[in-house]
Amino acid sequence: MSSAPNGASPKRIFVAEDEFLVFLALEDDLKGRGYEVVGPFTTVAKARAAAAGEDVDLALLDINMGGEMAYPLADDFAAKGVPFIFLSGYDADSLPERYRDAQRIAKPYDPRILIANVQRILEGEETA
Amino acid sequence: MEGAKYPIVGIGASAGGIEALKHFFGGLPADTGCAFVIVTHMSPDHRSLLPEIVARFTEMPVHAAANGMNADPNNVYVLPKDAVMGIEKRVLTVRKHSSARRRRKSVDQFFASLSKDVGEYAVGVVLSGGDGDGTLGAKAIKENAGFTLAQTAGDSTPQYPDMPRSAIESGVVDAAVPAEEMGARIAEFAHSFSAMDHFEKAAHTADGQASQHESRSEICAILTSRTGHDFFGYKDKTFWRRVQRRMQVNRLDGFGPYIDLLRRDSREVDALFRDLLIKVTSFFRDAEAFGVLQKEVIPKLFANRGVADTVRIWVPACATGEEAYSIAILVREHVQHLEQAPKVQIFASDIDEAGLTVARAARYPEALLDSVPPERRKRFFHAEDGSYVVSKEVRELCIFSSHSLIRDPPFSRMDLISCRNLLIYLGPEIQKQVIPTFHYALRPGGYLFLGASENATQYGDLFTPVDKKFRVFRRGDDSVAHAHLPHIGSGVTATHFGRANHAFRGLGTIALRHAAESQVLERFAPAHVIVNRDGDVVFYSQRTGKYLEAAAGTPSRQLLGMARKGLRLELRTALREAVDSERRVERENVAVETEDGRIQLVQLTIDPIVERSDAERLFLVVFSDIGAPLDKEDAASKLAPPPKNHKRSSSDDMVQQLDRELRETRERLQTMVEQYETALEELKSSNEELVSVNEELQSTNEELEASKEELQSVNEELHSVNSELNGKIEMLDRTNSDLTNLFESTRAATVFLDRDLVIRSYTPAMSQIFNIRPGDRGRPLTDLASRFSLPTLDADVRQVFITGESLERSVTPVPHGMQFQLRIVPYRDQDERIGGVVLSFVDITSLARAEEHQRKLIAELNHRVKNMLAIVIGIAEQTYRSSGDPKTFKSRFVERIKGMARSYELLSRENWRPAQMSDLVRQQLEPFGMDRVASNGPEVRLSPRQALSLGMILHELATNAAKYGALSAEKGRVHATWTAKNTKNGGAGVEFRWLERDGPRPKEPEAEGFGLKLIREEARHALGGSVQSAFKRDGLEVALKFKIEAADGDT
Repeated sequence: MSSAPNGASPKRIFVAEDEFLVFLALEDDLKGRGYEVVGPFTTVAKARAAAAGEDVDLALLDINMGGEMAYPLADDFAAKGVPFIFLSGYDADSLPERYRDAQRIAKPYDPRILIANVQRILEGEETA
Repeated sequence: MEGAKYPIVGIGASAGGIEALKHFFGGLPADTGCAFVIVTHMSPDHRSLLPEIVARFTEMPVHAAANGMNADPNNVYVLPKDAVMGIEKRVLTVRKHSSARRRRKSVDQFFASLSKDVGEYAVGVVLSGGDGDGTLGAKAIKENAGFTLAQTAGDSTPQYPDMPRSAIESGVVDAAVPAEEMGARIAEFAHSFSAMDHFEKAAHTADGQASQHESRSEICAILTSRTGHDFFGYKDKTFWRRVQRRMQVNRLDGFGPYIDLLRRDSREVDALFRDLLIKVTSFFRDAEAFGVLQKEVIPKLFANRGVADTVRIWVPACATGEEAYSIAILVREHVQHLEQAPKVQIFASDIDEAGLTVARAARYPEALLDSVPPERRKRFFHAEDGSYVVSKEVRELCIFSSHSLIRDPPFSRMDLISCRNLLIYLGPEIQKQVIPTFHYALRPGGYLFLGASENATQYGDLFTPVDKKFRVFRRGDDSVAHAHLPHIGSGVTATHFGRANHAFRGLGTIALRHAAESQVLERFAPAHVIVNRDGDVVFYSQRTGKYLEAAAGTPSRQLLGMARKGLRLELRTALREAVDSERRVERENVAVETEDGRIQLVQLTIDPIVERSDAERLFLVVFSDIGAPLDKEDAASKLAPPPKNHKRSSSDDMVQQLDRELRETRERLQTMVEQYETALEELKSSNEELVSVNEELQSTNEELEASKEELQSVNEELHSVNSELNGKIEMLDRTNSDLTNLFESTRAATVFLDRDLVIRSYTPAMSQIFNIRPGDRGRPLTDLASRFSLPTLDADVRQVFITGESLERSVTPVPHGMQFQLRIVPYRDQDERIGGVVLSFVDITSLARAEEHQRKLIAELNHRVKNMLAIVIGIAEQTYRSSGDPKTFKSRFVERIKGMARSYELLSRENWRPAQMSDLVRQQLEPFGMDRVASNGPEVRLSPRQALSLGMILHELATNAAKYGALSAEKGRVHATWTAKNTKNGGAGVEFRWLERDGPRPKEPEAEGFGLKLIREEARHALGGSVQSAFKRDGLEVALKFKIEAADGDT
């Protein structure tokens, strides 16, 4: 069940989400799989500041955080080569050109799909 | 039969004929040697008795005419019932005619037949009747030198004068006399033939020929001096026939007396003149020839002629106008088919004034219209009082004038000359003159139309035949040499005697002779003056002072006024006589009182000056003294007739003298009477003229009236058209100002271009797009600087022109971010043709922005809804974890969703703008009873996001209080208070306090519940603040601190 490799330190997942209740659900799902959750960060500014100092394996990014768009944050992770997944109610057409083809999971998300995507990115082809 | 030559008298009568016949036979001498044929129109009943009736009037045998009956002298033949009669070789031909024929022309038929058969032995008598029968027949008789009579009023009066009047008006009647006088005329006519026979026999001898030639020269000289017309060239036979007829009419036997008559009576000269000119004309005489004229000639006259051109036609010798009107009718018929008809002038001329008068009146007896087909008769004539009047449209084409083809200069530039049956009357000499005259008068290529027996072929260099049979010729184009005016007439026209007498012309014997003549005239000739017919002196000789003296008053040339005492009376009568008779008049022994009171006896001679031209007649008045002047007594005795017997008593002398005076006085009286009558005649004719002028004026007046009415109605129409126009102009003004206002008010930039992209007009908004000013109307749009780059504009406009469909294109101005839609629509004028294009630029910037905004809103909505669902899922999960059983889960979950709903309700009421904190508190706590809640705080507005978070916190606090805290007890109360203070960074710092009182003593929960966790995390994350809670003895106390988010409202 648990995908966290024994002995090795758990994979760190950065979560930027302004809705506390949503974060709680995410945290439950990720922790339940043995991942370490870094967050939540509720504003873009706080998230970018945090991201600069954190070494993470994956980022889950809400696009609209308190009315602010999270693309600069995504740019930071892209620059660092950290993979990221958008979590958003927006459809692809509403995204800027450069992120049309980015990984994206629609809200409200299905936890199984979320986990499957996270696992695919972090553990290669292993899928649920 | 052959040798027997005797006159046959045709008698035409109709209504009123019996009475006329009675008078006719009553006046007829016995044994005239003539045969009489009576042709009547009378109704069959009358006619059956006619021979018996006629038999009562005459001793001669009367027969009902039968076919094959000889017409013998001194016999009377009566046309039988229902028959037409002719005559051939003096044998009557009688045919039954179909009774269906309504209009009978039996008189014309018989007369025509008679004239053909016996020529100059034919006599036509037209008696009382009600129509125009006999006129044509009389014409035929007259043409063949027969004798014609028509009945006028005398002792007997024609009961129905129409028939004789028609004949008289046609100018073909020799003797217009009462019926009872006709017999004598006919008898004389019959007897005159012996003289004729003698004459004809004489013509075969050389002597006779010479004398005839002499007579003819004399007659011609008289004719020329009187009428100015030269008949030397007329054919011999024609000439003598006419002269003989006049001799018969005047009951003269031999040329001597006739020439005397001609000298004496100028009226006879006129009559002979008219007879010489007579020719029979009728409408469309020789219909086939006119057919050729209509088909072959007239269309060519009008070919290539425009409205500005004139077609000129000349009818010389038009006589009574029938030929001219016939041509005018043909012209009218042709012109009515032309779209653009040139002007037409038909000049009709003749030397016979009487004929011209008939022609000008344009009124013809029905008989002359026989060869006019009914449709032409209907179209070009109208019947009036039994005669036919040429319609105005035909009449106005013709111009009649007195003109001699032989003597006067010809007309010129004619397209057609129609001269039918004139040349036959002219001798070869005159023909030789006339035909070149025609050539001169025609324009090159003009046509000449002659009569059937006339020809111009011997003038092949002048004319080429077009139709030989019907004598149509065409003027050659080439013969310039001949196109000069031929020699006209005698050439002598001058009347300046005074100068002619004194002029020395030339040298040698002629000059010498002149000089001698002048000297003789001055020295030895009696005193003389030359006067005109009115007695005005035009020339004085020397030494006239003895007879004339200047009269008192204004200077005058009047001879009678200047005559000395004693001379005037004789001068007046003698001059009058000379003028009237145009012969020499002499008066002997006229006593003139000289200046010294003595008496000079004078012979007065007045002699007409023989002059060939028709210029004013002049008279030479010669005063010759008889002896020396005498004393008064001597003169008186000399004037008295020489006493034959000294024994005669002085009373006898007295009586003789009185007798003579009486005679002279009577003569003078007679002269006066004649003058008076002449004056009366003149007055009458003046009166007639005045009447006709009056008629003309009246008709002109009527025309003017009609024109006035027309003008008035036109004026009315113009008024109404004008007011309509005014109304339209007002409408136009209004529409125009509406359009101007529309242009001003509309924000749409519109420009109207023509096919060359030239600006016609534009709306003011256009200046946003182009640097366009009012002066730019008329310039091509492409010349103007635009804020757009419109590289395809030219091509686009062309495409609209080609397809006729409008085209749309969105364009963006070069400098800033507005957006326009350019619409190119074809501009269609009233004929639905594309006369240009309309370019309109519509500002769609705000529309584009609105679209963008809407797109964003939809995305936002998606985001929010999905976010909300994620939150709801979160709440559900967390609530589920903290609730033991489904029932608890359900109630807690539903409570929380309801709490959220309340916050949403408030925010949507506030339109998602910042909401009042007091309102939020009330909204969340109301379900728990506001009487138990004391809320208090300053006005603070919260952004929707913060409001939602705080709402959730309040909900958790209130449900917790209701379950475990103050609100679970009956007396428990809650105090919700807040304060606000300004902090740094601009936003306000809010401190919210929640105090529960008078409830059960609270217990510290052993583990933090979901509610508390939610409160804490919401405060931290969503509000960006902090929360402190304490379970005190009096109740739970919570303090919440956060900063107000900038209220941008668009979370």
